[in-house]
Amino acid sequence: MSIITGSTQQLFIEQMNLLFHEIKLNKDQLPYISEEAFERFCQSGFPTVRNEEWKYTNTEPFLKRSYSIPDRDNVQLNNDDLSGLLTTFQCHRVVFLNGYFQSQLSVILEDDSSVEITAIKDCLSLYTDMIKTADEILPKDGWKYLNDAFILDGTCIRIKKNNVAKYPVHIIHLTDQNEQALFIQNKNLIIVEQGAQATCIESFYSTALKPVLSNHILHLNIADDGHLTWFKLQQLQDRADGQQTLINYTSASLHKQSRLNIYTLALNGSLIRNNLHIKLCGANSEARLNGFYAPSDKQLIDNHTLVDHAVPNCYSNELYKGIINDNAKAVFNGKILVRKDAQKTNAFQSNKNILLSDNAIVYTKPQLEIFADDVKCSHGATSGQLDDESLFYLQARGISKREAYKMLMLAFAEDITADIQSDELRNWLNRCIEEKIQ
Amino acid sequence: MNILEIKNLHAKVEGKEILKGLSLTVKAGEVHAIMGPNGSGKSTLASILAGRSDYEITDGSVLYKGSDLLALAPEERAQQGVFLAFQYPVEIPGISTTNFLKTAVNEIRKAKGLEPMEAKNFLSMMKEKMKIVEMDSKLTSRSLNEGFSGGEKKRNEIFQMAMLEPSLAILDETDSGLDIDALRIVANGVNQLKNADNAFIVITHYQRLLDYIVPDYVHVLSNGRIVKSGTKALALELEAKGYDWIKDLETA
Ligand SMILES: Nc1ncnc2c1ncn2[C@@H]1O[C@H](COP(=O)(O)OP(=O)(O)OP(=O)(O)O)[C@@H](O)[C@H]1O
Ligand SMILES: [Mg+2]
Repeated sequence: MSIITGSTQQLFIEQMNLLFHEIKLNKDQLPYISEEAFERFCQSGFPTVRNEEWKYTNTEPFLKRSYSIPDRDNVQLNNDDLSGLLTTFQCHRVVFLNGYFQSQLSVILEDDSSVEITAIKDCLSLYTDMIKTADEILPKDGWKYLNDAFILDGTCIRIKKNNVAKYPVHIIHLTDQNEQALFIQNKNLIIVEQGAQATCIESFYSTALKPVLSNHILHLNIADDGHLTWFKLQQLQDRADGQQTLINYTSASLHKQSRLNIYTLALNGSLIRNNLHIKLCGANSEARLNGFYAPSDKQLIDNHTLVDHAVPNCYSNELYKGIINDNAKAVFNGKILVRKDAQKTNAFQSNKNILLSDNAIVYTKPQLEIFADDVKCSHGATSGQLDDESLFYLQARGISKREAYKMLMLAFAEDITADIQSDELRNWLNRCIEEKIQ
Repeated sequence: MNILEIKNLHAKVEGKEILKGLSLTVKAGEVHAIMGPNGSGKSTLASILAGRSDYEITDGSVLYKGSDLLALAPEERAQQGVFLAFQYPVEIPGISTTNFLKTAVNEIRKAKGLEPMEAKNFLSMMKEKMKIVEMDSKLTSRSLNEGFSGGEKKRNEIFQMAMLEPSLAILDETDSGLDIDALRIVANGVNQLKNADNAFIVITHYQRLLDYIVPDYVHVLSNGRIVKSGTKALALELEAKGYDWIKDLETA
């Protein structure tokens, strides 16, 4: 046995090196591997707190342990009752267990020809250019390079031209492991073709008793006149010593007159880092970014967003809200970039936080970079306690303090889901929020 | 029966003494009006009775139906029948009046060991009480008081009072900002709810309200104490003469 020395950075790179060698032995089973990307990862390493974008989010404690790549043929489910994470309404269901697609847990509804769901390996060559453009949108750092070096699996969902998807698509990233800590990477690609419309839900769920480090990438591409509503539901319950770390980069390219409504509900996870980078590259496109995060205990949830207005006449509106409890920490960093040509841009951003304990912390940083002159932009951030006056008003009507707290927190949070049109979907998400806030 | 018995109440806020030995007894079936100059401590008294925590009680006692009121949490007071119509009702985005009242009614029932009210019964009760204050049903589905006009907020307070059927209702300037019609409606609401078992404390600056809600007693609160008590005639006298002569009484 060798004695381990050196920095976390060195050790992590070494560890990834070993995993990458192991991976290469099975490379036929993987969608792709890239020596070049891995080389870049080795040069850059993971971003540390010395990197401005990672200043408040120290991943080091989570990268010290040793992780294994899950075994494709030996995935067993601790708890095969998935009902806790399934929607109450019909969906196409694409399930990844420990990073691998599970056909027996997945459901592709036959009577919907508007949606094509395939393995990512089968369509990489079809969409090389699209993926390349999407890659440009994401931050060029170690996490991205690592995901570019290899993934275990992934899906490609195509909503066909001028079709409205009959059912939502529910992608489930489920992790479950009792013996060893796992390292998992997926990449998903969603293509909304011209004039097509769809709603998708992406759940992150864990029943693992051991730590899991996930580093996933999602690319959304919405063609002219396409509409996409996307929900991210991050419920990585950390139990026993099962620390759940999720790095989740998302790119979105919005073409002419297209629309994206994206909801990021980060409810549980030892450490969650979301990078949501949206590029409005077609005129008259619209993006709405909604976020809710509720870290408790020692959890850390970090949302970094970038809205890049590259062309004129686009609209973006971002609202992120957080409730931070116990010793938890939240980071919100929202950047709006309005490029020189992007005249008549409307870009709005707001971040609101409630701190429930003296030890809860939020770092919020809105950033506006505006290079055009004819624009309407605004941003604002608040953080504070629950309003005492409101609390007293409810109590003065006979409502217990505990219940009053809950009502006020739910009212604060459900502002994020209020504009969801489907009652079923909204209620389902609100129940997930309520479960966390109890 | 005494509903409320306040004896020699002294209270401070942020180190400043606001109530300086206030005594008042309210019996079942009575309506008491409290008048007095701005800043004399009327809302302070109302808030203390409802259980707001910003105040330090330095002396005196408050008995409600014979037991110590000050020992109870605000929600316990409400559950036992104390109601404050706020001078400035709070706006709460994201909670509808209906949902809020359903929770309140059921929390109060829970405290009494009763099952939650059936949805159907609750709705018909809402309907019935909304009629009393002629409240538009559209208001109840909106967020609590959010964007309500001043008058709508006050009407909503009386509506809540009608729903919760308190034993002791304290109305803090519910008449301010109301037009004549609304004033009549609010007063009617109070008169309909009034019975031999409950009591009202009506804080107001205007004797006009007392034409509609006829008080059994009128008190003048000045500089933290009740300096004069009388009948409705006192309200008329105040209206005519102002408060200066009372202030003179105080120093005399
Ligand atoms: N939280 C507080 N901090 C400091 N002073 C306070 C506070 N609450 C009340 N006061 C002071 O206590 C005094 C009494 O206020 P209160 O609101 O009870 O008067 P009021 O009789 O209701 O007046 P009005 O007729 O204007 O409604 C005022 O001087 C007020 O400024
Ligand atoms: Mg007052």
